[in-house]
Amino acid sequence: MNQNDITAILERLFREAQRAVADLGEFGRLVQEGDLEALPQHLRQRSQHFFLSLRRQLQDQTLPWLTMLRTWAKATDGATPAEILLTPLSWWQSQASGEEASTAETGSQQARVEALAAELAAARDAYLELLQDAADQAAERFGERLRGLDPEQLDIRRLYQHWLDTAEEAYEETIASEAFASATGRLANAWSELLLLLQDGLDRVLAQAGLPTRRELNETQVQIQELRRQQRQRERRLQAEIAELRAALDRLLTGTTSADQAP
Amino acid sequence: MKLDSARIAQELDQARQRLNRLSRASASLRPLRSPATPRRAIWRCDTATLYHYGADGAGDAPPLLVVYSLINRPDILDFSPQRSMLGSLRAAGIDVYLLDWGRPGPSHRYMSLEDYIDGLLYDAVAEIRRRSGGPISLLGVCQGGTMALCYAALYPEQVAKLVTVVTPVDFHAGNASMYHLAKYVDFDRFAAAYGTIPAGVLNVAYVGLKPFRIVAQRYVDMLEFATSPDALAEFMRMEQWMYDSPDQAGAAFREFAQHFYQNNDLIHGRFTIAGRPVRLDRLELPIFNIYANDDHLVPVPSARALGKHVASRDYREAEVAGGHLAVFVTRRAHTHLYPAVAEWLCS
Repeated sequence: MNQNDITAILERLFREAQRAVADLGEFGRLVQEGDLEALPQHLRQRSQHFFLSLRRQLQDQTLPWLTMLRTWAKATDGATPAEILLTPLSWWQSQASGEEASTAETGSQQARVEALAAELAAARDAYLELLQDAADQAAERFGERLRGLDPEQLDIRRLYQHWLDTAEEAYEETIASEAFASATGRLANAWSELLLLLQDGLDRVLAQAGLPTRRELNETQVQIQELRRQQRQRERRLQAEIAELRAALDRLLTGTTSADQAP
Repeated sequence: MKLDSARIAQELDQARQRLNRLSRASASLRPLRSPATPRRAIWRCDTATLYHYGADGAGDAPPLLVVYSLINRPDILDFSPQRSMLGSLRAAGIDVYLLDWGRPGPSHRYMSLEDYIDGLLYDAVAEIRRRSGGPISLLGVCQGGTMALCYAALYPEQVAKLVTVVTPVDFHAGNASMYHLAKYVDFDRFAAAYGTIPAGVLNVAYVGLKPFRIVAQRYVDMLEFATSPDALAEFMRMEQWMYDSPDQAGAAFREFAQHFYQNNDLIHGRFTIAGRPVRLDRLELPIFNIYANDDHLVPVPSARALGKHVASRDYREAEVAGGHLAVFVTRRAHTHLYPAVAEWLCS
């Protein structure tokens, strides 16, 4: 580890520590502003803001990709190669089309993209809904826990610890549920399909331009791995042959020595 | 019900002061030494490197090859002179080797479990056997333990003894949070989409198992000891290790997720390597199985299932108090557990 590594770790460490102190501060502010009884409701509202913001972030992340796919789909359903080549340049201008805006477009490629957009949005919302349920559960349980605590024995750190314990417990129950397993799989699968569709679209554009495609790269990588395996087998055969030859040489030398020593 | 407002303000002020002290303490930090124990690279192939740590004194035990997981880096086995599993075993007279799988790149996306177990691991064992002239012992950690089990089942004549450390065996047993995450994922499509699986994707999944502990609790706790340079250095080592995960070869990742997590093929004798079945019930060698009693990644029943599925008549277990990493970082593991492992290996 060199000094640069230390600097990078320290930067992350400070960021996280600052976030932890800010979180603690926010917690303290909520406690200062109202009665402890109102704290669970504050925490529930805070989690709702968080998940809404997370939903927007995820939406923002996927929107450019979906917009690009839509643009390509329009072009590839009956477009000329020149149009396909030019479409990647125009996707920036058409981001306003909206994520779930399904239109009456026809054509197989467009239908595929719209189906994917709908599934991705539904999978994301189902996943976030479960997390929000876990947060609501956590807030409710925290309220129950608070009723059993003596304010005289409490400080912010201890109160915060109670919150972390309660929240983790509620969250662990959620992620152990069948519904969460199903939602996680659905989201991961929808995301995989988005990537694969993007790669497929890019491949068609690259092929039109006579550039190497991902499909070609995959073939090369398969061959590289096969060559590694062949090389390994050759090396093992060679090692075995060397061992056999050494043994034979030893036998020969031993035989010669014995013969030399014989009367 | 209210808390004292002035007391709250005072407490928050203290937290901010601690943050400032952390800033000052870190200014004096020097590069951390890694690895802690001297070693020599004696063999390399593709991404993998075989390190030799040697032994203090001349023990009679066969050489020990340590096989770590593909998911993280093996640095945690040799953090500092006080916290080094490799150093502890070496000091106890064991001739220690470590197989470092390295970091797969894009050209390794089609590297399979067969390439890892029957390829790199086989060749590393062969290299040690060429030097020692006899069988070796294996010590597998976490996923590396599962791989070591597969190897011992395929090549029983090469392995004298086997130590498994926090190793999943029954992937559906206990509170199997990893199985739940993997249950409905289409790993054929996942691996096809990503090629080489980015480490960041897996880190999000691991942090997602305990977000309040790993994200919030860790750093609030850290503020309380950050003024101690030694404690801060230890924390930073752990911090670096946690987020220094290699990318995963897509094919091996897909196979592990499908065969082990989704289908639980290992305990059902359905997993094969190069067409050869991996049968735990044929394992007759001496086995030392170490698990942690609060492990959220490898639940106790998952690790302890090994005892039910092997034919070994010399099977023993040791329980370590704490979570998945307790086996590597707690003082007790280094003062009691590893000397006991070394004694068992020498016996």
